Amino acid sequence: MIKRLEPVLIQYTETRLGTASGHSLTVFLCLLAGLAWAVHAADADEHLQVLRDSCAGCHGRADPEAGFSVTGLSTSVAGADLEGWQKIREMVSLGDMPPPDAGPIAVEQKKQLLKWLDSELTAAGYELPDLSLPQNGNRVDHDALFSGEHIGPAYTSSRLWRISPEIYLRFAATIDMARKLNAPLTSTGDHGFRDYSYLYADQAAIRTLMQNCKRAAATLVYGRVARVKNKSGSARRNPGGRENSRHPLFRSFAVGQGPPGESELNAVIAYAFEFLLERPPTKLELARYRDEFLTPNLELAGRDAALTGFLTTMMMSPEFLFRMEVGLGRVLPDGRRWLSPREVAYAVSYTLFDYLDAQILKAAEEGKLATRADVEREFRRMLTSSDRRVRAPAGKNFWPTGKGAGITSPRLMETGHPRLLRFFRQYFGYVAAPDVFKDDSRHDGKLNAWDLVRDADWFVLRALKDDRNVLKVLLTSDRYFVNSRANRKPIRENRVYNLDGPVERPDQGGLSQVPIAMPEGQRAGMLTHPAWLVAHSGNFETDPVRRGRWIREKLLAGIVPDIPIGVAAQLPDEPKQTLRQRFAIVNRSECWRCHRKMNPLGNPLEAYDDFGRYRTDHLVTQDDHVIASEFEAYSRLRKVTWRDSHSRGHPEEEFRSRPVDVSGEITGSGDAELDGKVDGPVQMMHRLAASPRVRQCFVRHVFRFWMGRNETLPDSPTLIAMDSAYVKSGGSFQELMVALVTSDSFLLRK
Amino acid sequence: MEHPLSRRKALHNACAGLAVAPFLQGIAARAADQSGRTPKRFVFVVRANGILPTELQPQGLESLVRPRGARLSQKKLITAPLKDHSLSRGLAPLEPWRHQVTVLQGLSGRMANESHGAGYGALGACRGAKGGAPPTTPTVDGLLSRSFNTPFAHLGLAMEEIGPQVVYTGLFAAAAKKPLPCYADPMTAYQDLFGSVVTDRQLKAAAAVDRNVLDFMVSDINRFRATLPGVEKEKLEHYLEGFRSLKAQGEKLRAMKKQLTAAAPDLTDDFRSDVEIERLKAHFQLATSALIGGLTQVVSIRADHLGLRLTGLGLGSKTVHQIGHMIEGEKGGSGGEKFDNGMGEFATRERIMNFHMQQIASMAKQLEAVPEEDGTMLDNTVILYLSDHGEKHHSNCFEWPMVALGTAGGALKAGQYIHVPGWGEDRHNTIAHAYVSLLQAAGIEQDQFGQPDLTLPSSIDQTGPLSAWMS
Repeated sequence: MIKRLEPVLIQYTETRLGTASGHSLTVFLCLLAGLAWAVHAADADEHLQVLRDSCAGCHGRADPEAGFSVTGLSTSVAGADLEGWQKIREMVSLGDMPPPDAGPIAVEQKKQLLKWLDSELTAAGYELPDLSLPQNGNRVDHDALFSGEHIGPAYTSSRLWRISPEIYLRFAATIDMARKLNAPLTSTGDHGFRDYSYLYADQAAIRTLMQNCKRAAATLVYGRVARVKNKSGSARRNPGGRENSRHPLFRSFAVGQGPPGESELNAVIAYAFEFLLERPPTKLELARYRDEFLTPNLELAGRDAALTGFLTTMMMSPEFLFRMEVGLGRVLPDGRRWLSPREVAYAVSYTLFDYLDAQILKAAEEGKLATRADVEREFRRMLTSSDRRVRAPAGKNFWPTGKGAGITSPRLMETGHPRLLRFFRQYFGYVAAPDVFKDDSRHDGKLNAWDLVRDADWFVLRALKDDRNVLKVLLTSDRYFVNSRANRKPIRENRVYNLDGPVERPDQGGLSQVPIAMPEGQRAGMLTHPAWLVAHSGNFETDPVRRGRWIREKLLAGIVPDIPIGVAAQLPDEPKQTLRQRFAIVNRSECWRCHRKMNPLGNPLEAYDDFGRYRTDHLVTQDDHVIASEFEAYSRLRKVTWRDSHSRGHPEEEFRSRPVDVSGEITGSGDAELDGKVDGPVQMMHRLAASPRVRQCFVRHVFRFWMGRNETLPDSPTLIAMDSAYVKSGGSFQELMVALVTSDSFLLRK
Repeated sequence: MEHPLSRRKALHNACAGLAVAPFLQGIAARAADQSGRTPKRFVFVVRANGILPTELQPQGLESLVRPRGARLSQKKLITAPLKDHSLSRGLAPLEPWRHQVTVLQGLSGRMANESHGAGYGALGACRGAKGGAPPTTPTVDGLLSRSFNTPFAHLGLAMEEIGPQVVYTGLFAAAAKKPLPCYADPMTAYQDLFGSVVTDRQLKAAAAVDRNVLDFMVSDINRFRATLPGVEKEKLEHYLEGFRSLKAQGEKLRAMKKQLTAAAPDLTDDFRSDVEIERLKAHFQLATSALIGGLTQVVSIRADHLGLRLTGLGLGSKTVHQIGHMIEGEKGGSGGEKFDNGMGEFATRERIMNFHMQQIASMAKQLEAVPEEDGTMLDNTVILYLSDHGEKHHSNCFEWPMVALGTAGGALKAGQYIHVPGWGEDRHNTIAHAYVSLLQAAGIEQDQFGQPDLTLPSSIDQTGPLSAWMS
């Protein structure tokens, strides 16, 4: 604090006391500094008193909990106890301390304490967590966001947003490239949403981009690689040949003779601008591309190479590869600026599609995209229809999360809004199911993770189509799509869903299929869906920690710190214990501090094995070894297939059973109605789905995905508007989206 | 460049008799390895369809393997010097280097087992990625490439139908989620590798346009950047940096003009051929020239893939996959289908492998012609030939036969047959052991690689190198 006062003092003394003698200046400074120190000490004492009152019960002088005492802390944060103060900040800000049974610090006191700590720690050189990073999204105080006390003004910083891999791939498909391009613009790791606006195209990506551009240029100029039939009748690509050029202007330019005149050059530049950037070039741009690029390279290398080079520069330009959200529209008195109509057209198009919607661009050009009402009108139109002529290309390769994962027909999407489904895939994370390796010997082919993902996709799309109580349906419905991939075939059985015998299909399959009721009392929403359960499991076992963490972070807006460095997280190897029994090891206080946030939430999901099959009992071998799943009991241990095993008698003859403990508890959620013990997954999910806190947390995630950034306190009005639009409309996801797209956060920049 | 001219001259003289004479100054890589150690080079040749154990089996040792993923309950490690055994017919082109050859049998790769090919698992000893999923760990070539400082850390070359210039094969990865690209079109590779020294007028012009594109982009982005607020400026700075480094790489290559001119391959018709195996020849020539020119120390070549037709080898219109199904001596597939001329599966496989081996032999011959330290460039190289999928077309990866040529500077033992104990037996080895050997041969102190085979008994140590291979 002294440090921060100094520059002000000096400035003050220099301006006001410029004529005073050096001596008196020094005295004055000393006096002021002394005063500052006194203020500082008083601050520190006050905050220390808060800590003593709330913490010293456990963290007192004699034998303190976790070896940490607050009583001996020096009041100087920057001193020897810096580390201790950092710990206190983390514990208090995350709400980890004081623990529930110790009584909380009063809200105002906590606020002041954190404010003081933040400024002291920053002055001491400690870096506070960067709230813009995806993993820190939940650090913004949830209650403050929805309390209504923050009234903005909401805006998003001016920004460039690298286009997503999907937008890039779709462009390739649009120009009719025979093979898909490599999407070099890979996104962040696994932590939550993958496309944040702070990402940039890195160095390694550029070489690939350049190669892509050459290929794309060849396609633009000469058409796609030709296919001819070879002797055996199968299609084969014609070596070197290309066909179906869609851009005669490029083609005639490339094959033309002699040096082109100025008008020919202008025409080709203007055409490229219109096609690639959807706008005419400015005079300056026209001259630059013509005189500084095309003309010299024409002389150097001829028409074909110059044109390819030119198209490459266009397709490598920032305007092509980044979404521009600078805020070029009108300026408000408080300094915020509207997105220009053109910027709005792009931003709104990309909320639903991976391409620019032609109609909204037209509206922008005609001056019909100037108000919020205009934006709403266009967005609602796009929600209910999409231009079939520019529909995303059908084909599994288009869906970039993996072969077979995708919905091969975009018709399934009703309106073809790929980004809606993408949000739910990334939010729930069920699409990772095929990444979790389960050895064949453990399930005898019973698990097809891609099929499960697709079933889950259908589950989401159905909820979106109905558009009523979307979140509640997704968290509690026990009507799933099963074997949705198998077109029009009867559902034989699917043991992962506990459908152990043939099931009549109530529909014709395919696009018309309807969900099927699961066996009663077993399932409730996505978190009990096998795709989600497999995606959040280990190779051999369930994973109550990861599952609990998911609930804590994605439904309760809580934070679980990463596993501390130096902790070897290892469960005891005890084959006679269930996983839950083995997890008793985390009840030790140093583990429990974090694990209490996860395990009690994940434990009810022990009602399913690591393949997602519902169970009431663990199977146990004669020598008392616990078997992870029923599938394993059949296929690995008996070395027979499931089908055979039935003819050879029931497994009970060989295995004993032990009941599964599915009790759990919701704690520290910040919603008193929500907290409390639960006795099973179905009860837990229904209670979660009824909570406003969970709904609001969901709203926060929607905001993050579509804004490409974390929410901040000034975004509070936007979040509240989204939440209330959703509630008022009876749980319509579309209304929630309308509220977002017409908000200040979405439309204003600064 | 610490190499005296006299040495260069000596090299020149030493190799003057060879038709491939101009690339004699195989000195660049030495210069590129700033540590001053003799550079080591690693070449991986990966093909599809699995390799039958019998395809590699030296003569006189046939009784140790069966054609179809034998899973003989081999209990003990068997080694035999190759000086007593001629190489198999498929490997015959390598006879002149028999003392440099190592045949590896009995390694398993269960952790990578996927149907029809292990993808990144083959060189990653990790779970084989299915359906275009991104890699989860680096593959061994990707890991090796990280420790060398050459203009191209990793050179990937892939057989593909005519069309794409660059492909991601799903076989090679620099790190998790970072697949390595491969040149599919030899001409594109040629331009990127040797474009700075080409004499062909048209190619020269194309290279000049490429340079102009980079220059124009840098000025274009700079201009645009000036209009942006602070944070966003930084984002573009990264983008700009990428272009600058590409430019820098171009300049680096132009600075290597002399040695690149010497090493650049003749632009034969192979480079533009529509016959598959001619383009494969071009790929091998590019790889060899890049190694000699010091452009890279790690090369990965995908020699074929299941959807490809190997035109030029007299195999009609059959794809590699169809060839894989001409299964002889076992039920399933097309059950011993034969070509019209009576050529069955074994003979077809032999023909393909023979062709691959001719290319490897040609590479070895050229590397051998370049003296380095007390020996030749070949002495500091190891070429590993394997399939992306175990011991047969529909492999379960209980066995993964491989053959290696070279000792990587004496780090590896050569001229021997190594047959490790079968899967599940005591002291069994997996492909991960073999890859740790390569890493250690490169001086990378690593004891573990990829993911362990979780189905192996815990008594089997899955760390460390394949000790029988280490010298």
